[in-house]
Amino acid sequence: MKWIRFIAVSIVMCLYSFQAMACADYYTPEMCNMFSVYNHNDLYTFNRMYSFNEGNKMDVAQFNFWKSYFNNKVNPKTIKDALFNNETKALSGLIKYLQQHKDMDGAHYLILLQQMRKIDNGNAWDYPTKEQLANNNRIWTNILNDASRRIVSSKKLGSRYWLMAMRAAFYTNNKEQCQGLWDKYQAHCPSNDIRILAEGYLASYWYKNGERERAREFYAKVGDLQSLRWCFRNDIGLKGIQKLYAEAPNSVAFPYLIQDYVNSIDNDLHPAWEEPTENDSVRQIVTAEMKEFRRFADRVLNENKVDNPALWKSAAAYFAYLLGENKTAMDELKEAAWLRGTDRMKENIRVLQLMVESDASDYNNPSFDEYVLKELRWLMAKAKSEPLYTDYSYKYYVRNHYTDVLQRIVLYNLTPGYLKAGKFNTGTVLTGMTNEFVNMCIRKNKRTNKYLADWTEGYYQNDYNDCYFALLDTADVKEVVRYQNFLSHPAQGSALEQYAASYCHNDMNYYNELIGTKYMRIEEFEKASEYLKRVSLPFISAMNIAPYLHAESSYPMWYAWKYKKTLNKKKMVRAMLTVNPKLLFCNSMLALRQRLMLATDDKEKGNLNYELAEKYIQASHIGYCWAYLHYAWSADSTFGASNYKEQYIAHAKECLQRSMQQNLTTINKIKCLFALASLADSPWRTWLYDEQADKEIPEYHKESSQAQLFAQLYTYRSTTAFVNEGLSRCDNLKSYIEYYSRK
Amino acid sequence: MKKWGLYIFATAVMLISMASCGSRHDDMVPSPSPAVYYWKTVFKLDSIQQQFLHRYAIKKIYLRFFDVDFNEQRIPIPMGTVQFDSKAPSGIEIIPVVYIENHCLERPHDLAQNIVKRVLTMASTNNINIKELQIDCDWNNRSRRTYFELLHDIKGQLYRRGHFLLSATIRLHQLSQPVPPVDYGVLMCYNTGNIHDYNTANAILDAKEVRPFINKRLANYRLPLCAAYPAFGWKLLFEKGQFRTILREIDLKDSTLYRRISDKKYIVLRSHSVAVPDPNSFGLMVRAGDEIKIDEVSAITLFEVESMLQAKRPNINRQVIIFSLNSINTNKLSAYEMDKIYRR
Repeated sequence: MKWIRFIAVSIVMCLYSFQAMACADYYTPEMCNMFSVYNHNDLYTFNRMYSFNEGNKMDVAQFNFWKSYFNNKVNPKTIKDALFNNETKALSGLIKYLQQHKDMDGAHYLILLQQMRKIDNGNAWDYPTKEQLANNNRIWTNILNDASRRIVSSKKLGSRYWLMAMRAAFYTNNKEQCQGLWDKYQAHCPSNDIRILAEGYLASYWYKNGERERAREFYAKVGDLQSLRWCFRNDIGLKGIQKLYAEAPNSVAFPYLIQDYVNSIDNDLHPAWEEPTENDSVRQIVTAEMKEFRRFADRVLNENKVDNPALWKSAAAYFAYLLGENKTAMDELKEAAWLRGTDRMKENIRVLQLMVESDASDYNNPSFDEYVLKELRWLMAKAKSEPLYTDYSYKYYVRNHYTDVLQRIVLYNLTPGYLKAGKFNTGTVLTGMTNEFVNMCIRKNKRTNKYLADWTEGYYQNDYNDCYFALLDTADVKEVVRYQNFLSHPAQGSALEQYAASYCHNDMNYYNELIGTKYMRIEEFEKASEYLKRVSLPFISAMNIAPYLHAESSYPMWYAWKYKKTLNKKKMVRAMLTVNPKLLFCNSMLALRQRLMLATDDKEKGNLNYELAEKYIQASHIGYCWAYLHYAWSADSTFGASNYKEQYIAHAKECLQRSMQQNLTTINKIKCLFALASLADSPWRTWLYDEQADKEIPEYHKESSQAQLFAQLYTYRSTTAFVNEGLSRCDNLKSYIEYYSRK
Repeated sequence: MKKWGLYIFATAVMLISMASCGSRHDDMVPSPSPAVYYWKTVFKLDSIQQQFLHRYAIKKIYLRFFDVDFNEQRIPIPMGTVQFDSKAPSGIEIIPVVYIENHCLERPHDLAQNIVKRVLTMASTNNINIKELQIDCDWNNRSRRTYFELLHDIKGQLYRRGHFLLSATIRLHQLSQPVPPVDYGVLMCYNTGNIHDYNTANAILDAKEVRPFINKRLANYRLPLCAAYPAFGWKLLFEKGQFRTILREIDLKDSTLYRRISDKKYIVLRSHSVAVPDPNSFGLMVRAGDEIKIDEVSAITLFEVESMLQAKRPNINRQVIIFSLNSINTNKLSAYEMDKIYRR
């Protein structure tokens, strides 16, 4: 039976090379950090891009200044192009405008800006020659002198001239003058933003001069995280926090350090250790550390030296939650919400409250549903407004803190909680909502109704490879039917369910196909057919498993070696399906069962049972039409937990046994015996690799089920039926006959 | 007399043909000398690096000047231009190297002119006298034609500006492709494995991975070749068998954070964040249970690969380039081993 092994291996190989694998989403709770007290919006303050960024507060503040400087009489686009997007023409236009309006000071400032721009002309390929370097230096010196003179005299642009002068001093390596300009004017600068930008030129000097504390404070303030981290490279963790508190109890770096620390502790509680003792030992260390932090936070709060007590209290409260003290956590979070802290810190407290509530509440209490609905609405609005980033270490996922939080709370608390409370629809629709919201609203993925048009090699549908699918695929079919009814009539659900359903994937093709397949797996073909009839052909043609649905189903699997060429041609076909093969399969099973029920002649019954066996095997995981019951092929084949794989094969064997009993002709006996031998659990011969001889040595198993069936076939080897069936050409059987003939 | 004449003529023909078959001068790179790559964005030599240059009588530094990659508008631009904080050491030739991302070959317009002009300006501004340019690119069968045209154009541009050599790196898989139009090639004997695969024995250099390429193709490769060998290591972070990143600043000796589980593998005991070159991130969270795999190249492997190459191509090790001078401080090769690699 080498060919069966060969076919099975080939299918697996082909499938691995084709992207239709049902691997579970790589998402795990430890990937999603819950604690976030600094905002990514603030991170671009200093490292601004070369174009206007709506999300950058500094850009927006500067733009608003210039808009009002021009009395809203200049097109905002011109201002953005001239001052932020480096467009020469627009800048010249602004200069001309100011000159025409006799604003010589403003025009002069922009002329100096124009000169600065010329130094870096924006052509990335240019590298300055020695002459250009000397010339640039002259321009910078000129700007330094010119701008310095106007800091006081300019009525409206004094602080900007100051910033320009500091920049020029920095680029001419004039450290003392840079410091002098700072010392002389920083207290008079009316704009905090300008002061921060100006301070940036000094921060690099501070760090080099050993004033690390000062530099660190600055980097934290402007969100220059890389530089900040460098300053703290040896002081991350509780000890670092304690050390910094002793030095600077109100350091602006605390949000970064505490956030990093809380999230690392949270991660420690979800380690992937194989040894349970390892988990215990880490838990012990982490538990002790969390308790120590709580004691330390108490001390900090008692000393009353910090500006943001909400930060310390909320961190301590979250540790109480991680220690399993939910009540304490809730009380402390409520307390933290009333303490001083930034808006972001308060939002963080709200997130933590939802996390704790969703882990500890009564899921049958209607007021809990109302609370969840309110918080989910808020969380999803936050997820939409928070800037996104691409996580290069995880499948290039686009995410932000609030998408992380949403996924962790829903997938790991709310859905399991509702399922446990017997609310299948609520639990499932929340997962569906989260999935769809993150994939469609945030990651901007799109589904197409032109299914086939978009089908190309590598086309990939996440609909069969995510947690929502996993949930539906493993659920009882009756639950999924009820769930589909709810999705079709969401008004029947609670307010929370209705809200979630409004986001959920609602293409009924998807649910009908899923339910139909689930019924097929449990052999309820009538119901399967009822659902599969409703699935459109373009939909089924676009499923990632579709190319395998073209497989030839007319030949018995055990004779595949005879029809290899024909079968292989249709093993994977990239084309539109003209019929739904699953539906055809169900209908033919129903017809066969009907005929079997009506048949009175034993021989006919035997033939029908043989045909049924053929069908069962075709659709089983070893058959050519394996894709009928699968959505992908991997080690476990699909998320489905039922044992349908074994059942299909077991039923095929039963049909073959019955067929042999009902149709007693030699030819039927031979066909059934051969089929059963092909499906035998234990082979008559296996191969062992002999390292010394460097070859495979056969081992014979006389008592194996296959050997027993072959032994029966052996007695028929000279019959016409044996020859007509072509069995003398089967390599495996031929080897058996040769081996036992010699004995 | 006639007989004598015939005899002399036959002997001369024989001697000429013997001479041309014997030494195979055509496969040797010009002025072979001990060399190093320098592959950082700041060119600053510390005392250990200067000692290294002196100790091994290094005569050439192949210095990465810049990379060429797409900007957001998918236009090829120079990136990571080297900043000169040290002067080029006297008596050592600096050979500028430009690394071109393969996808940039989709838009090769003006690339040759831009590269040559920029390299020459950089050299002149920083008082570096250059005689050669090297191009590094992981080109493949699909991009080969464009790449070769680009090299041809670069050669033309260089020719118009003086007498410059053009060399190119050759990756092992490129040996099966036609020969690029350059004066010589540097066979890169590193990065031979897949760093994303947890089961790769050593992604930097594994003699087993090199062996399939050391065949007739190498012997008959119609381009003078020298070889570049690795003297660096890296720490690869894997989570549940999936590659996450190359770690830079971590101290594996910290037993509260890491535990050694095998010769080249560590397990993370406590979650903590580590520095990453991402301006938007305070650090990358390394999680308890993650594994860190260390790839380093032993002297034995280097000798084995060197000998393998030598057996097929006797002149290939006449010039050995070590990758790279900037990682020399951390590499564990002894002076004796380094001597042997340089074949002194």
